[in-house]
Amino acid sequence: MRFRPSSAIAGTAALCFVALLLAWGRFKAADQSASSARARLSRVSANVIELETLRAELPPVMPSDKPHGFLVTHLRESLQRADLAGVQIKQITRPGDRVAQRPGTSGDNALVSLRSEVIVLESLTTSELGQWLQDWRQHHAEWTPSQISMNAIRGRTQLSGGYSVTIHMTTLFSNHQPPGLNP
Amino acid sequence: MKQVHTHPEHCDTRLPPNMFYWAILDTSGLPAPGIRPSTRVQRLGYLFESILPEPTESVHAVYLPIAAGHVLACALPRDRLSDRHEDAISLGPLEAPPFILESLANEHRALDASGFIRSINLLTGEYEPPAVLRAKSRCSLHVVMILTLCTLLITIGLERRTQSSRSSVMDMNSHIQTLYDLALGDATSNGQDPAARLLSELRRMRAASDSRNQLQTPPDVSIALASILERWPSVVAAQTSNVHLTGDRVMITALLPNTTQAEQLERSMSEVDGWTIGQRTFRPARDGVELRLPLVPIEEGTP
Repeated sequence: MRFRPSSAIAGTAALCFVALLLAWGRFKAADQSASSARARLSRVSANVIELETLRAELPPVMPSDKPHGFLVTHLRESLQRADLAGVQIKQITRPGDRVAQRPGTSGDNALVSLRSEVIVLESLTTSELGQWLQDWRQHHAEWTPSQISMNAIRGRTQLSGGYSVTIHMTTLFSNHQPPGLNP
Repeated sequence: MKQVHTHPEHCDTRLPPNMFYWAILDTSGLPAPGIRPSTRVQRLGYLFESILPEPTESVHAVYLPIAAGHVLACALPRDRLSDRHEDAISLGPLEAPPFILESLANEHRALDASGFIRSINLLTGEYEPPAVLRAKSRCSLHVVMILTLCTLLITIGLERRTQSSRSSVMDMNSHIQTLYDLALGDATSNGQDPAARLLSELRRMRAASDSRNQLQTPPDVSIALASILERWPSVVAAQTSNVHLTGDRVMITALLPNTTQAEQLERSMSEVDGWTIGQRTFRPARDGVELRLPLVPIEEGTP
């Protein structure tokens, strides 16, 4: 059988072509897989960044185990800091939480609520009220005095006299404890 | 007598033109180029056969295209080829016969007739010299080696890039898992699809953000109260019965000894920053005058 150089070259070229084709196929598959993973990573990163940003903007979670207890404790501490330990906390009531109503939802599973607590403090002068409000704003800025009503106690005759002060304290809080970071 | 010219270095054997059979073939009747070379040679052989004094099987011919539609045919009897010089690597005519030269000069002036004739080599195909065959084999071997080497290098390069891509996919997947763990905590280990869980959590947070934007905390009224008390006239003997502050309204209800003091209180309250007096009312009371003084916030842009 006669050796044909052109056949040897053609055969080698064909084998090389097949080998290159296979290697190229493997490379393209891996490259596509990498592109897909890169896009997925970018998408997940963007989602996680947005999630953490939204979580950071959320108001704090409200302890719900002891109704009013949370606020009463803070109120007593604040009065003590303002040297007003003798001021009587006459009443604390919660008119109810307000939630943002979304179309088609009942609002029962709302993630954010606006809570109001009505506090009635007795026998407080205007300066004592100012002292206490200053301390409150310094330590509990999340609770906003949204309404104040000062009623002169019968028998007192000056503005600096005693008042029964009704204060509506309002705060935003989350009902949802997010998993993962930022608990 | 046979006259043989042999080039000493290249073993290029040149024979007198009268030892060859010559013809210029008109190939315009043949099919267009594109047919297999062996078929074309066979058909040219049929054309040449009509003017050859002996059968085509007993000669070895070569065909060189001169111009479109014309081919120079040159043949040598096989018995003369067999007794050629063993070292010869090419064999051809020393020159062309006069009738060929004349035809080339008349019809194909652009052609370098001398060089063209020198390029004729009949040691082709079955008469290819062993030295040429060896050289061709060596050359082929080199081409095969180069092809194999290039393929090997390219394949190694592609394989390295493939491995690198796979490794980066693993890194990215690990990174994605870390992000899921950070964002969802243990939620990724309870069998749920973390991507779906992340999107669900994101939707919840967007809804929460919308709710938060809808639920604006009312303004802090203690700032307004501080401004009012700061402006309160000390000389006024007001028996204030009620001060009521909300975000958009302050209502002062005061019992004063006379109208003068009521007007003084009104003037002082008109200086409270960010607030303006609304429709106030005086009402006579048992011990003086009862003043009802509403304050409303100054709208932005109001002079």
